[in-house]
Amino acid sequence: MMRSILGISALTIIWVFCTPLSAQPRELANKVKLPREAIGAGETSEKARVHAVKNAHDQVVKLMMAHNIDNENLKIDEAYVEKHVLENDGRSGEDIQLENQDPLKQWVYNFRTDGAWWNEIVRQDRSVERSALMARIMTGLSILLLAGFGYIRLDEYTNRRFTTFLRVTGAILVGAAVAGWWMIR
Amino acid sequence: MQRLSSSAIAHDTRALNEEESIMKFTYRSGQQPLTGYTIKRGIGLGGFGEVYFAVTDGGKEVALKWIRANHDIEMRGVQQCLNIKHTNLVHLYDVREDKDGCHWLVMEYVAGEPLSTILSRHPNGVAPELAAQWFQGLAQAIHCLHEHGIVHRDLKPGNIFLENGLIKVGDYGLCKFIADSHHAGMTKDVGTVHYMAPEISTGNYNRQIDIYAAGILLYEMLTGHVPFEGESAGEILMKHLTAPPDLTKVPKEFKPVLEKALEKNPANRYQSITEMAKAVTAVINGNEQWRNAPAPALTPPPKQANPEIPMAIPVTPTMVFQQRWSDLTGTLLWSVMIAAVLAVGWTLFFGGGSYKNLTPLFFLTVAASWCVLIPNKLWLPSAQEESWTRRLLQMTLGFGVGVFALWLEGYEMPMPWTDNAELAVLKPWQANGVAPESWLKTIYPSENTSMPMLACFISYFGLMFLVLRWWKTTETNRSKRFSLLSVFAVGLWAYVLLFLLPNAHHRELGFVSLLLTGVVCQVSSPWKEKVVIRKKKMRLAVA
Repeated sequence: MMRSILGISALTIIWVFCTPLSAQPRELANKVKLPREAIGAGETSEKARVHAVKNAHDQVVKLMMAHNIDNENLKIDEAYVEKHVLENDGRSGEDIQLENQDPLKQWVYNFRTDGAWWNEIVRQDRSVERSALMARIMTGLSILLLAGFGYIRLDEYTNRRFTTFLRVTGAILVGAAVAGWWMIR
Repeated sequence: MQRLSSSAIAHDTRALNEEESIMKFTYRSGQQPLTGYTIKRGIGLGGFGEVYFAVTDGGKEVALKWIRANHDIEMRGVQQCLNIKHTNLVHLYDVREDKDGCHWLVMEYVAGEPLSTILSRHPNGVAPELAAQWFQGLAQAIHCLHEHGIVHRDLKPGNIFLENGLIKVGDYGLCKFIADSHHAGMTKDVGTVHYMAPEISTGNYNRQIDIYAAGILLYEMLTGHVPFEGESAGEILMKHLTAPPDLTKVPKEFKPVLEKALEKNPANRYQSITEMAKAVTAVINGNEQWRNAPAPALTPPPKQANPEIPMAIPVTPTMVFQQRWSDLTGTLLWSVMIAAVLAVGWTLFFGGGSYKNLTPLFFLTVAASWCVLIPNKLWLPSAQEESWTRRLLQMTLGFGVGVFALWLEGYEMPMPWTDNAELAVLKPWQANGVAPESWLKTIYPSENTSMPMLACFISYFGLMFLVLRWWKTTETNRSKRFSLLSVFAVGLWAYVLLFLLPNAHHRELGFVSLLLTGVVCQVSSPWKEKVVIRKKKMRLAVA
């Protein structure tokens, strides 16, 4: 037993240190065409900057939708985009001259080029998916545990006089629950 | 005038448990106090000495009893029983003397649980047919001793074991030839007060005291408690002498049997254990439901030469198994609920208004708790003490928790059978044209350039599971239901090892989940308060 455990432990350590060091977000930056810059316009530089951030956010959301990533769960907002997606503080662009009006200010933000922000969004989306999966698994396990616990306690309470009946009832209930879940699904 | 000292009498099971928790074993694993026998672990502390699980040089597992107190009584009893062989008796192999002149008894190692442990899990007793089956095994063992002219004198649940469905009677420390029992005018310390026949106080007794004790045991198996209880040994003894047993709680079919077995006058009791065993069998056969109870599917023990006593039906460990699973499932369910409450509470009060961490925190806490609870609940009760096997098993499970944490966080696990083409840029040896700084930046977490992410997680959780004695928080006989000190220890280690985790988010998740695990394991694990019996000197004088 001791040797088996030591062997398993050693193999685990070897697996960790010798496999590709790739337990990282799936690197999609190479495959996905990421936006490069976001431009905003406004009467003042501040308004132009805010507009640029909004445009950047829109682009990110559009990209997410294109990859079936639901922003309802992640709640990627403009503050997040400004902090994690955009490069530095941006820069002012050329003013836009309009007839009979004051020129509009432009603000240009570059997206970060390493793609890490996109990986992070993908990771977060995957994390939400896995949490949902775990919730289902945990619910199922809890029901099974509850059924097992109830069966054992009832069997004890009845001094094992109705063991077969309890087993059959338990199997029917679990079967019905599985069938119901299957039909709803 | 007979004087009965209660210092030995008071060695009932509860007192023994109390002693076990306080006393420490003299020898540790690996020591060889007796040539040829290597101690593996201590398994019991009794009034007469310490009992160890040991292995001979040849690899045979044995139990070693170091006889420290009442040496003469113990040795006398042992020598009478040394050559007795019976399926239902714990075999005594040899008596040895170590280099310091101390005596050691080499016995068969029984891996099963004592009946006291089993009964403690069944406060309302076990099923009548099961009690009857166990009684048959007990009766065979007593019959064998009586046939050899020996009275056990210390029959109690702590001396009866259930191994692979077979009853084994042990602890011959108080065994005594019947011929010696009639000597008057001697001071004798005999047996355990709850199972002590009334006539013991007179000093004039015979094998009938074992029949009386067997009656008490049958009563206890059927109801979950002994018929005579009291605040002190004296009170219990007085009840043995004067009070009739309350038989309203036992099944009515057993009442005549118990009435006769628990007669105050030994002459009115069953004259042999065989007679009593037959009466119990008749009770079971007379009830259709008990008689037709599903037969346990175990190999019957080898047939005894003496067919006088009906062969004990091998009992099934179903009850023990069921109880263990009942404990486990109940604990796991509790742990889920407690983890949910704690995770929500933490997020509300310390989460800074963000619920992002709630689900990973909950699932990670549940996973870590289950990795502590499941192995420790299924671990053999005879191996409660610390061992490296246990620690290494915990560490391996900690690795698993680390991997699970990483998976839950949305990271991809590199598996040989998956297409890792997209990960090519992350492999240094395949990263054509990528500058070292560039791939180093991608394969290592930005805030920690020492280890890859997977190694960070499994190191953190693996070490956390290795360094702490988590099983202590799940033991039923732990000193307190909830120990803040344990949680503090978990928190301290979880904080010390935080440097292994890459960034603030992971640090918070790792630290908090382990802290909550420390709470969940304690709160969800069953706990039994220890009963402290005052060991005051008491003398019962019987004219």
